[in-house]
Amino acid sequence: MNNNIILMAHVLCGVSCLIGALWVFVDTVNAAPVHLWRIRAVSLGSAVAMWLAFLIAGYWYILFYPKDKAVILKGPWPMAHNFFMESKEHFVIMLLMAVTFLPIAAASDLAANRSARHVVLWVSGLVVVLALGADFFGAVIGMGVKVALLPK
Amino acid sequence: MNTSPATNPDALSKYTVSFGLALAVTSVFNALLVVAKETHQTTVMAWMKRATGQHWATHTLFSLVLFLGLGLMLARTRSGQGPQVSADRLVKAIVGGVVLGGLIIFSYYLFWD
Repeated sequence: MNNNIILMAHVLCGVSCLIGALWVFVDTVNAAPVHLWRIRAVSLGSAVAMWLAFLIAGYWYILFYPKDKAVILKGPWPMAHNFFMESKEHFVIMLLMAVTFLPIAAASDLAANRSARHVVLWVSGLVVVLALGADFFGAVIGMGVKVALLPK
Repeated sequence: MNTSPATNPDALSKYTVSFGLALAVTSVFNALLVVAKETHQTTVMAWMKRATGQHWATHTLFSLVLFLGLGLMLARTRSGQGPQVSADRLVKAIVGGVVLGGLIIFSYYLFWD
């Protein structure tokens, strides 16, 4: 498979996770018994999307990234690898765990249980922030390759 | 504060508390493992590369096994009732763990690497 398609599938799944977490946050603010199935389904969908994003990224990182890394390090933005990729590949593990925790916390009766609602709001918010960070770091890594390939 | 969801509708479930605490602890462990492997290239890093063929795969595996193992283990404490923590404290632990983990990772690659 073309490695650019793999990379786009990674971004699509990552953004789906982000949108799902944002949805869970907004739905939880106004949680009512009739919404609970939707909050649980979207929190589970967000976790599945992140697992897919992570597995696709792992496959791409191990098989295809070494070539991009060599390009980045020879270009004008070596920080795109030295800081952004090195950090991203490790902080997304926290994102993966946080979004895996989301459906566990959302399994409670969020309409009646204020404590569970409090936890779900914070964790879904945390997932949104981490996913936005991962998205931004990914963009910088992509730009690191691009600027290295631009004619001088 | 000796409550459970059965007696107090505002109490957190044992799995919410257990996996929430596991998330906090594993986030810090994940970051410390970054520092350990990067500062011990010939020992820790070399062993992690040998274990699965890729240090990052081993790193991910360690963190996920700790997260799931610790979460399940904590849920079995107190005769299967799990630990009791208020929502405020659990949120502080989760956010604190993730922020601390993030700061350790970013600081390491920004200043020490």
